[in-house]
Amino acid sequence: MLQESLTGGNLDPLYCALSHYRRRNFEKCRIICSELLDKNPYDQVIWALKMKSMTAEVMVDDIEAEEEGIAELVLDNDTLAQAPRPGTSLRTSATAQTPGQAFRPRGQSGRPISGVTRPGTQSTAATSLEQALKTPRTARSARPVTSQAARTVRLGTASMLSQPDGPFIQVARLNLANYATKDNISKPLFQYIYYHENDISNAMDLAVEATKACQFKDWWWKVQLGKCYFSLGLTRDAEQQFRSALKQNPTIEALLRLTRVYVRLDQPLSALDVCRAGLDTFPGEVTLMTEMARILEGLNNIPASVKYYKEILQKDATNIEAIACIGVNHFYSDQPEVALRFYRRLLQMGLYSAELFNNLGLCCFFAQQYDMTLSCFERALSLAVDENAADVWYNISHIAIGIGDLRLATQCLQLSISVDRNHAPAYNNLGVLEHNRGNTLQARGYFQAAASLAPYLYEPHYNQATLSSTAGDLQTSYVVVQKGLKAYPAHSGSQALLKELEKHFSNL
Amino acid sequence: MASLRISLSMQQPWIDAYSDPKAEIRTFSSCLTLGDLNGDNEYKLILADLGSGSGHVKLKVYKGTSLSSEIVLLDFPSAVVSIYTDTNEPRIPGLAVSCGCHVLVYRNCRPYFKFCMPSIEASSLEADLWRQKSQTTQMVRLLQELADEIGYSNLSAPSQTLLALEPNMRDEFLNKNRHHLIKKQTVITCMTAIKKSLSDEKSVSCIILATENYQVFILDPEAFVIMDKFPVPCVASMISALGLYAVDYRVLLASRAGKIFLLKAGVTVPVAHLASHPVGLILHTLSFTIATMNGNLQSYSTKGIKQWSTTLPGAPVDVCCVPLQGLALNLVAVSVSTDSGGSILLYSGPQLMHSFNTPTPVSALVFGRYGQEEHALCSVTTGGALSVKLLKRTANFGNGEKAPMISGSQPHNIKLLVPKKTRLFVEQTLRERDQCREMHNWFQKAWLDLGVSVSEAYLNGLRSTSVCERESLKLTAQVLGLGPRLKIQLFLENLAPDYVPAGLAVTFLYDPKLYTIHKTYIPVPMLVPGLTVSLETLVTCELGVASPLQVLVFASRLLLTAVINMPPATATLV
Repeated sequence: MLQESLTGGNLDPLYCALSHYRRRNFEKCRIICSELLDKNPYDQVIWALKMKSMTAEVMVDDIEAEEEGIAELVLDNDTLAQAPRPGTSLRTSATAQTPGQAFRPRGQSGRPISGVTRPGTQSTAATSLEQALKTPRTARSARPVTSQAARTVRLGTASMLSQPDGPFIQVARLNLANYATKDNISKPLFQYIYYHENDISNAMDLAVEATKACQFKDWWWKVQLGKCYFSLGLTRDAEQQFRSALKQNPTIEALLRLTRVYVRLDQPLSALDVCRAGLDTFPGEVTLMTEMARILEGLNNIPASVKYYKEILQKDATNIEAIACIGVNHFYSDQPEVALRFYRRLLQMGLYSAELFNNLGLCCFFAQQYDMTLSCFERALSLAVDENAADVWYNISHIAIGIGDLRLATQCLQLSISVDRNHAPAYNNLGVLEHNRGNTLQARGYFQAAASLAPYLYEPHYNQATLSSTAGDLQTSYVVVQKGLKAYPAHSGSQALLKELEKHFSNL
Repeated sequence: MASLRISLSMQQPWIDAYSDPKAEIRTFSSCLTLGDLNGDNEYKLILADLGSGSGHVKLKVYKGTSLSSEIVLLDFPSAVVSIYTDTNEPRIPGLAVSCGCHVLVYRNCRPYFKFCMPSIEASSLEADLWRQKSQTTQMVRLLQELADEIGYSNLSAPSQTLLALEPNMRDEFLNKNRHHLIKKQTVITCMTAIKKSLSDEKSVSCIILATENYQVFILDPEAFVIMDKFPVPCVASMISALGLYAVDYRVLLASRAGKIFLLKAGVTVPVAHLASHPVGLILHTLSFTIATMNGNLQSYSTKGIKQWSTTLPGAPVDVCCVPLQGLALNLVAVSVSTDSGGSILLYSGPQLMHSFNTPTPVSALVFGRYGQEEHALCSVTTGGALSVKLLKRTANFGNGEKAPMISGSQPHNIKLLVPKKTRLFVEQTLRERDQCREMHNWFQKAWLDLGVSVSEAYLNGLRSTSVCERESLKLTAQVLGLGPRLKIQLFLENLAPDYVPAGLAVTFLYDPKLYTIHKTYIPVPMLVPGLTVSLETLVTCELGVASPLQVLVFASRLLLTAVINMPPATATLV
C-alpha cells in the first residue's frame, strides 16, 4: 500500500525519489531510497540521494546561526589588546557616540539597542570568566557554552533522534581517503557528515583528503575546510582557507564566512574591508550590505549603518531587518513620526508580534497620536509572552509617567520586575519614583539592585551618586559616580558631580 | 576632558629597561629609594611593599631585572632612606626605615641597629592617677575627665586603651598594667636625609625626622644620638631638606592642613598656606615646588612669595626631583592620573619639557642611579606594576613641549543634533488640531481601560505573589556554572525601612525528574533593611532538558515567587 502511494503506480522509483526530493518531501524520498538500497546496497546514486535528502531535512542556513559561546569568548588563545584603539573593536563599548547614550539606550548585552534581535546582539562582551559565566545566564537566553553546542541545541541534531535500524552510515568505519577521490559522492557525503551527523572532526578529515585529491584546485572544498576550521575554533586557518577559495572563485558564501572569521577575531575593520571588496564583485548584494550594516552598528557608527540599511531597502523593499533598524534610528533621533511609518510598513508586511505593537505604541505616544497609543499597547500585552511582557510593562510605565499617573507607573514597573527579575531599568525607575515619594532608603536599594544587575547602565550609578552626595556620603558618591562615568564617559551630569566632589576633597 | 599630546618632534628619550606588570607592589614615593647596598657600584632599588593588607609588609631589594632579597617588616613603614652611616671601607650604606616610633637600620640586608624615639613623660596628673591605685570605675571616670580637659590624643597609650576597652575587660587590663610606667610614644611621620659635613656622593648623612608630637629631630648616623631637636607648630606630613648639616641647611615641612614651614638656623617660619592639599613638595636652593590636589603645580620662593603656577592635565599623584647635571637641568617629574590612565610630565620651572603616558597612574617615582646607569626613573603604578626606564645619554629636551591642550569646545560652538521637524509631523499636528476632541476622548477611555487591566494584572500578581507590596522584598537570582551541576544564587533584600520580617524561608518548585536540588529548604536570617542576604544551593541536572524553576519565599504564608530560567546543562549534551 505504502509503496504504491509513494511511487505513484508504475513510475521508476528512482525518478519518484528524485521528484520527492525536488518537491522537498524528504521523508518520502528517504523511504523510497531505503527500499531501493535494501534491494541493491551498492547503488551509489540511491545512496547519494538518500544522504542528500537526510542532510536537507536537518540543514539550516548556518551563516546566520552564529553565536559566540562562553568557551570562544573566554578561553581563546589569541590574547587581544586589553585597550584597543577606539573604533577598532567590537568588544569595547564604542566611544564615538554620535547620538549619545542618553538618547539611545543599551540592550541586555550592554550594546546600543538594535532594531532586530540577532544571535550577536544578545551576547555580552565579558571581560572576566566570572562575568562570562554569570551575566548571560541571568539574561533571558542562557548563553551556550560553545557555539558548537549552540547549534546542536538549536537544530536538534539528527544524530540524537533515534534511528530504528542503526545509523545510516557508520562514519567511523568509512575509508575517507577512498571516498574523497570520488568527486560525485564526496560532496554529499561531506554535507551529510557535517550537517546530519554534526561530526566536525570527521568532516574535516574528509575535506582535507578531498582537497588533496583535487590538488588544491577546488574552491568548494576550501570553503568547507574553512567552515570546519572555524567551528573548531581555528580561526586563523579558516581565514587562510576562505582567502584561498576567494582567490579561485569569489562567492558570497565565502565572503560572508570570511567576515564572520574577522568578527570572531574582533577585527571589524578587516571584516568591513572584505565586504567592500565583495561589493565590487557583487554590486548591490543585500547579504553583504546587511553584514556591513551590522558590523557598523556593532561599532556604534549608527549613521553609516543606517546608510547601508537604506541602500538595502532600495534593492529589497521588504527587508525586515533594514526597516526595523532604520525605524529604531529615527525613533532615537527624535523623529518618532518617521519611525511610525517604518513600523506601519512592517505591520502591513504581515508581522504581528508584541515587539512591533510595543514599538508602534511608543512611536504613537511620542508623535502625539494619542488615540492609537493605548490600543497598540493593549495588543502588545495580549501578544506578549514571558520576558517580552516585562518590556511592554516597562514601556507602559513610561506612558504613565508621561501622563503623571505615578501610582500606575509604579504598579507597571513592579509587574515588569515580577515578570523579569533582572530588569535593571525597571529597578532604576522604581528607585526614582520611590525617591520622589521621599523613601530614600528604598530608592537606594533599587538603584543598587539596578547597578549590580546592569553595570553598563549609567543611570543607576548617577542616581545613587546624587542621592549619596545629597545625604553627605561623599566617599560613596565619588566611587559610584566614577562607575557611572565608566559606563558613559560623556555624561555631563556625572562629570559635573565628579567635579563638585573633587572640589570638596581637594580644597582646604 | 583633557588629552595629552605627545610630541612627535622629539624622539622618545627613554629606554624601557625593565618592567614587571605583575609585580603586585603597593608603595609610595617615601618608601622608594636607590642605593649601592653592597658597595659594588651596582645600585639597587629598595622599596617597602605595603602589601594588599593580608600579608606582611616587606622590604624588597631589586637588583638589575630581578628581586634580589626580601626582608619582612613588622609594622607599616613611613619612609625608607639609604644613607652612609660611617666612613669605613668598603663603603656600604645603611638602610634606614622609619616604623612607628623606631628607626630600623639595615646593613647588607641584615638588621644592624634599632633606634627608638625618646618617650615623652605623660602629664603629671595622668601619672598620678595611675599611681593612686583607685577603683576601676573611678579611674575611668577621672581619666575621662582628664581626656576632656587635655584631649584624648594627649593621653598615654595605656590610658587610651583603657578608655577604649569594653567595661568588663577594663579590670583585667588595669591589673596587668598598673605597675607599668606611664609614658607616651610618638610616631614618626616622615623622614629624609642630608649630608653631614661633606657634599660628596658617598659622605656620611644625617637623618631628619618629623614626629606626631610637633617636633623635628636630627640624628647623628655614626652614634645614633639626637643632635638637634626643634619644636614645630604643626605635624609635618611631608619633608624635604637641602644643605649640609655642619654648614647650613634648610628643612621644608608641609602640614596636613596645607601649611608650609621652613626650618632654618633652628627657627621655624611659616612661608605659605595652600588653598588645597599638598601632594608632593621639592625644595630647591631658593624656591620650592609643590603639587596640590586641585591639579596645580606651584612654585614659591623660600620667602613665601608665589612665583608661578601651572595647571596639570590631571590630578597629581606624586612628584620627584630629576636632576640632570649634564644638561644643566633640574627637572621636576610629576605623575598625574588622567581619564585615560596616567602620565608622567617633566617640568623645568613652569615649562613642560617632556611627557609620556602610562597605562595606569604612577603612585611612586624615584630618579637616580640604578645598576651602572646614571639616570634611571623607577616607578610603581597604582596597579602594582614596576617599571625602570633609562634616560638615553643623547637625550636632549630642547625647548620643551607646548603645554598639553585642554580640549573641549566652547559652549557656543557645540552644535545640537536636533533634527528638523518633518512634513509628516506637521501633517500629524494638523490632524491633531482638527480632531482634538475625538483623540482626547479616545485616549481617556483607553487609559481608563488600561488602568483597569493594569490593576487586574497587579492584583493577579499579588495573588500569585509574584509581586509583593507590604514586605517590599527584592529577590534577584543568578545561575552559575556550566552544568550538569549548577549553583543558584539568590539575593534577598528588604526595602521597607520600618519593618523587619523574620522567620522567612526559601524553597523551590521544580520537576524532580529534571533537577535535584541539594538544599530544598533554605532558612533566611533576619532581613535588616538595606542589607542583602545571599542564599545559594547546588542543583544537579538529571537530563539534558531545561525547564524553568520557581523560587518561593514564605513565612506563614507565601510572600514572593520568582521564576528562574535554567540554562541547558551542557555536559549531558556534548
